[in-house]
Amino acid sequence: MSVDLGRKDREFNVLFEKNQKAILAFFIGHGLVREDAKDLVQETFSKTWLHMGDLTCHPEERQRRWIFRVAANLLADFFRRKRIPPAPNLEHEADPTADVHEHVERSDKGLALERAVQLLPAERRLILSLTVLGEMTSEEIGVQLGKPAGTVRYELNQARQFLSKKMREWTEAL
Amino acid sequence: MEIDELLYEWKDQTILSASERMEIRLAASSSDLTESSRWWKSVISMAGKALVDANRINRACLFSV
Repeated sequence: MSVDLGRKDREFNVLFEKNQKAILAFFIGHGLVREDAKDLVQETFSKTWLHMGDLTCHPEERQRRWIFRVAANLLADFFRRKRIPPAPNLEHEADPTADVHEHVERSDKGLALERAVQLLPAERRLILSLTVLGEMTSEEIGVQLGKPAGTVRYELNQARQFLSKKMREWTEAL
Repeated sequence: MEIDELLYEWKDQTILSASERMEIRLAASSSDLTESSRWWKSVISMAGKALVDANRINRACLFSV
């Protein structure tokens, strides 16, 4: 049994399911907490809904690029509203890992990993997030970020090495 | 624990659940409606989902006999 939602709804649902993971990953990759990221996903797709008529006649790649552009504008508005600088890069700041040892000690490695992800340089964090959460290939990420796929793969590899090293350091420090 | 496992766990805890996706889809696709139309759309959508669930339960009962 299925409920007929109408053509616009059906096309929107397809577009939503194809892009929601990538858009959530985009916001998380820019350092937003999950709840804020979720709100911005909703705003992104509200705007998408309003432009469905123009969007459906374009190929998938162009639709995705358009959705990413909307997401980037909403993100800039978000940072402006909150008056915080975009994409904070914590790598070289003074002891941003204050409670990390506690997380590792409590065997809560998931939380420690999230802290380690926040320590990555901004672009590396975004690439990791788009790959892991957004399930995007290095080619797809390259298109969105305007970088060769090889560079994306290199950055991803560096991110994974950094995370492994951090997790090992924190575990050994106990 | 390997880094891959931790990253998988991170993903599992972060991505949107089915109900969150439905909630977002519904809210987004109602963004051009008036408040009362939005309300009707959510009622119709929930009724549709309840029918689908009821049908699934019904079938499960039939197969279990």
